[in-house]
Amino acid sequence: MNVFQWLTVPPLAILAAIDLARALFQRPRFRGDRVLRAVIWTAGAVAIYDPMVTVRVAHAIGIERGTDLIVYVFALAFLGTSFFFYARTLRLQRQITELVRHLAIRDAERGPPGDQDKDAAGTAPSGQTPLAAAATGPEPVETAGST
Amino acid sequence: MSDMPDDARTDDVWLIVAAYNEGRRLGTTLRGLADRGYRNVVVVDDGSRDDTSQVALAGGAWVLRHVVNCGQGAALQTGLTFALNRGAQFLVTFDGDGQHSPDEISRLLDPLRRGTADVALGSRFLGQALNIPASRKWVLKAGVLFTRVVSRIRVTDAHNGFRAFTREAAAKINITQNRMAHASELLDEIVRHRLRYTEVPVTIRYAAETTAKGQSSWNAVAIVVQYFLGRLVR
Repeated sequence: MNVFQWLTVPPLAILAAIDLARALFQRPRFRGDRVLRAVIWTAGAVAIYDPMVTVRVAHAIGIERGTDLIVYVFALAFLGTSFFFYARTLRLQRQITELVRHLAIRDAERGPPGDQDKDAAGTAPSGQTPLAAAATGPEPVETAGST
Repeated sequence: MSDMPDDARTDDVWLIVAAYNEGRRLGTTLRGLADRGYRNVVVVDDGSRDDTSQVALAGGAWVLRHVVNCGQGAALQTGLTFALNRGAQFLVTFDGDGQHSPDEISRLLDPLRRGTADVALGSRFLGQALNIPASRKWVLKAGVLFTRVVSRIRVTDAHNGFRAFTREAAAKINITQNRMAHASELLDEIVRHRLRYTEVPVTIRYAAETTAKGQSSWNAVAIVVQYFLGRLVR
């Protein structure tokens, strides 16, 4: 092994072993994501230890060069990762929306012509401070209903 | 109240107006609704930076403030949830920028009151779209085609914000698409819950100001992407 291989393969192998051990033995439940990570560490270690492995795998699936295989895998991994983070952001956005909605409904208030209904509702405490001043959303999105 | 519809009650109707920086136009819209006897108006101020909330309060509306700008879909769901909590029997989504006519609300509610539909969808293509830019018209037509193929619902106007729901229908619908893709999601919800729907001819008035504030035709592509990604993420 060359210096680079000595510097990278052992740490990757250790990471793979840790993740695999945690996936298999750590309670309370089996963790598929840890297995996936262990597989990725192992594949990286093997590809660095013996670059010809990627060439053989590439040939086996009809790709001419091992380098091309790496590029394809990275392209797919990029798409997958992008979607993963998009999904996570979207879920976070939905949670924020729920929170914003809860506050909006809790602090609802009515203008003077409907004051008589306000007390009955109990949803608009007197002296409610308008929250408009706190409306500092970073980037406006499409609320205008003009279609 | 001289213009109050003869054939319709207004006390069981709740109007939901999603508004973002609509302070200049909202007052006129609210006066138009008040003149026709609609007292239950919910303005969801979606994090406006102008005086939208103050104008809405001055107009006697219920005001719900999103502390950050979330999008029209989120604002409408907030308004629907609030109105349902308050006991609304009929819920109408209505634009705050003067594009919709308050005179047509009773017509939109008519099939719901007769019990022939759960949801009434306004259609500018069955009615009129005054001063509509040509590009907007064709994008909307493309949207109709897209909706018919993807959502499997036969409508003539897929992105009209003028709609009416019965209480039962509104309670079933859950809008998770915060932004403009909510219009397509709403139609999906109608199909998913097998709600009875009908289209009602309405008039949409385009003005230079509202057209500029509305969606650009190119945004349609972004809306389609949002729609599909939103469907994938649960």
